Amino acid sequence: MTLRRPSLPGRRSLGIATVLLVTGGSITLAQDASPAAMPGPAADKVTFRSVFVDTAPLELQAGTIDLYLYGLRTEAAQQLQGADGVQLFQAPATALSLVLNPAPAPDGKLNPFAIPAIRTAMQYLVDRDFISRDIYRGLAQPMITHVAPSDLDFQTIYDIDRGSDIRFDPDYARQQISDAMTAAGAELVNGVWQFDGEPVRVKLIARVEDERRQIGDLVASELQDAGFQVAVTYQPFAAAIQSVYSSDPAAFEWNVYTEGWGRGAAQRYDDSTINAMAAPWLGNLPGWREQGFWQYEDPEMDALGQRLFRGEFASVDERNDIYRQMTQRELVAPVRVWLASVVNSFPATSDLTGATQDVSAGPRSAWTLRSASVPGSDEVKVGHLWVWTERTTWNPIGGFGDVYSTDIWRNLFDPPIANHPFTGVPTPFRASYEVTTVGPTGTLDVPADAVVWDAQADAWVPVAAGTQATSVVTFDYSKYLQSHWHDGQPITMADAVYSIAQGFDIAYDPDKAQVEVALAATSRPYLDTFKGFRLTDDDRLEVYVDYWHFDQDQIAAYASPTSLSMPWEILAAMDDLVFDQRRAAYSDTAAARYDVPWLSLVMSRDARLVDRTLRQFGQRHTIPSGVFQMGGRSLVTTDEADARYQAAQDWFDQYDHLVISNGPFFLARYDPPAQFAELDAFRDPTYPFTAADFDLGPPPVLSIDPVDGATAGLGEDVSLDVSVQGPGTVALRYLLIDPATGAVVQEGTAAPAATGGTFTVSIGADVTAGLFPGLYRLDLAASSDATALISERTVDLEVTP
Amino acid sequence: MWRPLAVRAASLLGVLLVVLVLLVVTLGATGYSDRILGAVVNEEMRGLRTTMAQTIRDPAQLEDALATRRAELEQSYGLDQPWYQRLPGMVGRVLTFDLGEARTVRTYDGSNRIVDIILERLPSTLLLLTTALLITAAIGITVGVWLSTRVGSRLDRVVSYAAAVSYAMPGWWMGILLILVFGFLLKLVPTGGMYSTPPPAGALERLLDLAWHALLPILTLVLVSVGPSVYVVRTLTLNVAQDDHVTLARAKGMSERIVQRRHILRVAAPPIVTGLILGLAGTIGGAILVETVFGWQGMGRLYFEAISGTPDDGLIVGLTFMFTLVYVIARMILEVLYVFLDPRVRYAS
Repeated sequence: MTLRRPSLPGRRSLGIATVLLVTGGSITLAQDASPAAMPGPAADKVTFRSVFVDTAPLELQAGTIDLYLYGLRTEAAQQLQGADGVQLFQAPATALSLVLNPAPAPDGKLNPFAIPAIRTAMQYLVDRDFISRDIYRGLAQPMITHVAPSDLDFQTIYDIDRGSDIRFDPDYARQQISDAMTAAGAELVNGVWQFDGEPVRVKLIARVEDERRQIGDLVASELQDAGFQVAVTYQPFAAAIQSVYSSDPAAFEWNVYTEGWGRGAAQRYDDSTINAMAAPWLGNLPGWREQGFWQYEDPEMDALGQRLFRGEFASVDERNDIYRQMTQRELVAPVRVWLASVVNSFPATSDLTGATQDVSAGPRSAWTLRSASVPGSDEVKVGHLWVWTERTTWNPIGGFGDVYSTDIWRNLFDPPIANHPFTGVPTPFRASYEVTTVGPTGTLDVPADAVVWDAQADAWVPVAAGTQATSVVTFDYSKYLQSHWHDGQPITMADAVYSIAQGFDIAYDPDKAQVEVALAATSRPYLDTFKGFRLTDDDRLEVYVDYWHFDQDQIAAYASPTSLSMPWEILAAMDDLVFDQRRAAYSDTAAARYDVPWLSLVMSRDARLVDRTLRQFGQRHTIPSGVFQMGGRSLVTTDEADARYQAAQDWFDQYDHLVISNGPFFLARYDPPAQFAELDAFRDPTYPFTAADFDLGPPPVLSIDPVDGATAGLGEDVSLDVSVQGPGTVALRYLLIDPATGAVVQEGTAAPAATGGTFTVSIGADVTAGLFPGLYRLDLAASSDATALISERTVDLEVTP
Repeated sequence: MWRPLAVRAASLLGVLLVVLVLLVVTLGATGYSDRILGAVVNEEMRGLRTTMAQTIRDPAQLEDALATRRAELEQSYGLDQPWYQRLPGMVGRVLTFDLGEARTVRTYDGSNRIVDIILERLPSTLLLLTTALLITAAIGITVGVWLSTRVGSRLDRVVSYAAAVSYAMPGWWMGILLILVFGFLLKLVPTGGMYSTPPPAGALERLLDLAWHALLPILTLVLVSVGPSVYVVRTLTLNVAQDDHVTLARAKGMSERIVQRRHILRVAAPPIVTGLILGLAGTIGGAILVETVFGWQGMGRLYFEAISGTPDDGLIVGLTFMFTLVYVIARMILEVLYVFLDPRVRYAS
């Protein structure tokens, strides 16, 4: 079974009009060709500076920034909606939930949330519409499972979610609570539940920094109305995590906590979030898998979750079935009650064009700034909350832990594969690939001339005889290898090979693993699944891996062995500093243990250490031993190595940092005290992309055209034509719901009509025969393989006698 | 006189020691340090589980990897030692002026030595807060003394009301207001940050640029503190002006200028100077909100970084030592100044 996906279209040469002057590593465009037609990004320059969140709208309107990359406060976002000269990029970047403490109370006490029926009643007690509509002023959407309507897996559980009949129904909730509390031996005295003569008290911790404070007040009020005595504590992050996540649930420092979750880039097939949010084994439910704490247990959910997690399914249907079972189970007696998916608003001037955005992360994607420009200006001015923080660390091995650095860094390098901003599916970015797999049950032989890195011998050695793997992915790196690093040196296979060997070395070389303990321990289980590598030609690398997924793009993403983000000489110099000289560390913990700097290539002090090491390499004509001897070939000569060392030193002399990469921008200036960074366009003629390659346009929008309500007599067939507008292969699902009971009467997929985009929803006579006369609700959901976002519409179906 | 001063110096150094001991006991014996650091480790582990779950597919291997990372983090935070071994060492070290290393906070060029961090931040704060305080004090003393001779006048009433408004005005709000007016509407001054974008390259140009950016925050700090300053000086000098010795001086026919300078201001000086010196000492603590509004990397934000997010107890101890030391030095300066400022003050030998 093979699949080949082409990478982004490349541009291998330039027209005569484009003449480049290369001066000391900086590249200046001499002709007046349009940037859009030249290699590299749309803008010649992108600057980042720190802007306080409350003054960001003013800065934007004053023209001092073109785009703000930090989410605005709800009120400010609302004020900017429809404002002249401003456009808002919106992304569902936050999810909110309540976590309930289900630990059993000691004798003589009663913890209401230990009773499953009361946890279920909470689903009906919280007013999600109020949270979305009033507290977040329309900038949020209600959610009842961990999957928001904007998530890619919403299509998987659409009918479970929309057909669940979970709604705000305080009377129903209070009745359920009353029944359960009475059964537990409590009695309602003057509107307050009492147990053993004491009022039943609920400790609610509400975060204080944002709208979760109001949500805490709302939930407290709803719990009070249900008869509980509620003590609300408003806490900031540090205090809250201490109370909730670091205390034994059986100590009852809290009963309810208002959680908030950040969302990353879109992911097509989730298996970790559902486990983290619903399955106790992954340690994100009360008890947190901390030794000595009471633990919330759900063995059935754990079993399902671990099947999903280990990939123990043979098809997409089987995978979806597990996912649906978990979601269904999550809705009953939940320990985590989902509230809303909050839209983060990132404002930009209306002049900003071409800014491709991710459906989940908004403008914080690898695509956005590559294609963005402001007509009449060669610069895009970006504001962010910070450019530099005290925790900023730029090293690709154990750094980049803060979003501010990552938001800059992603514009400086081209990853081999990235999740598509609209679909979340892993997509070739600068590498292309070909996948062959015999999974989930079969194995294929790893060829005898494939090699693995022997960390003891510091050499690539042939794989052991009889080695087998589930899949092989052939990566084609030609779009890297025909081009240059920012310092002008050619990108070669040696760069890929070194970075692969580096990962294995840190994990398996006992001396290195002893220094970077955590990095080694956390990467080893992943690297254990890599069974061999083989260079098939100058551009291609075969990777044999024990991993299977029904989606071959997922296999390729898993098997991608290198990010190819920095030249080997920088990695080698850092390795020397960390493991031989012991004057720096990759990770924060190793830095603390050895009392050395946590290596950051933008810090001049650290970069100077790397520069000095490069100088020593050059003086000694050093080449890392073993790593470049692969498949009977030597990938680097001494002259090439010396040229690279010199180019990197020249780069440091010019820019005072050692962030050298291969993306459409290079880091021209990084000034922490001024909270300023300047990214200049990398117009190297061999760079394979132009701005047009990254300009994907606005996220595709699906829409269901207005549909008139339908009428059907009892026992009659009824059909409804529905027109859907949108790109890709479109599908339409429907649910027929009895609004009186909330029950799903029928569900299905609408049949596509002969004309494109039109579907027919058919309800059979056998179904209508079983209905009572009255209004029914027909929920429609359109989806497409071209976008993660679905479109929904509700239609009335009147059943007449 | 010197012996009592030496005794006072010793007692103030005792204060320094007691503060540090109390801090350590508060952080350690109450379990605060262990709990907050443990909470930070737990929080990081929860995030790491989700991240690592993307690549490690075997639950048992995942747990092993997480356990290793947890051990690393606990060692890094010193949680592998009880507080009474971890924290007293910090006190001993800082008392010898070795402030040690911060765990996560670093300087612009990557140093985690606390002394480097403080030396980097302090000038920014001094430029902002000390300048603002000196301006405030100069205005306060000049206008306050002048007003004390015009008590009850229309101007006195206006200044009194203005002082109340100034006192009630939150600094961060005033900051945003001034940014709006002078930064965005009139476009006279920068709207925030410490340097222009792009920042100038030369050292002198950078210094001038820094001063230019400090204008609005300094104005903010002056506006919110000058009212109380004027009012306090006015009240202090007014009380002294009504003393018998002032009446006697006037009865002797001394000029009003001499009466004000020698008989009123000098007597009222100790409390005014006390406020000024302690205020100056206090300025090194920074002003968190104003620094945040103006994007100013000063001591206020440093303290905030030390105690928020991932609390850094080494940095907390180091900063507390430094602040207490500055307070002790300021108190000693005051003890000496009192003797010279007010002849009535004499220490028993």
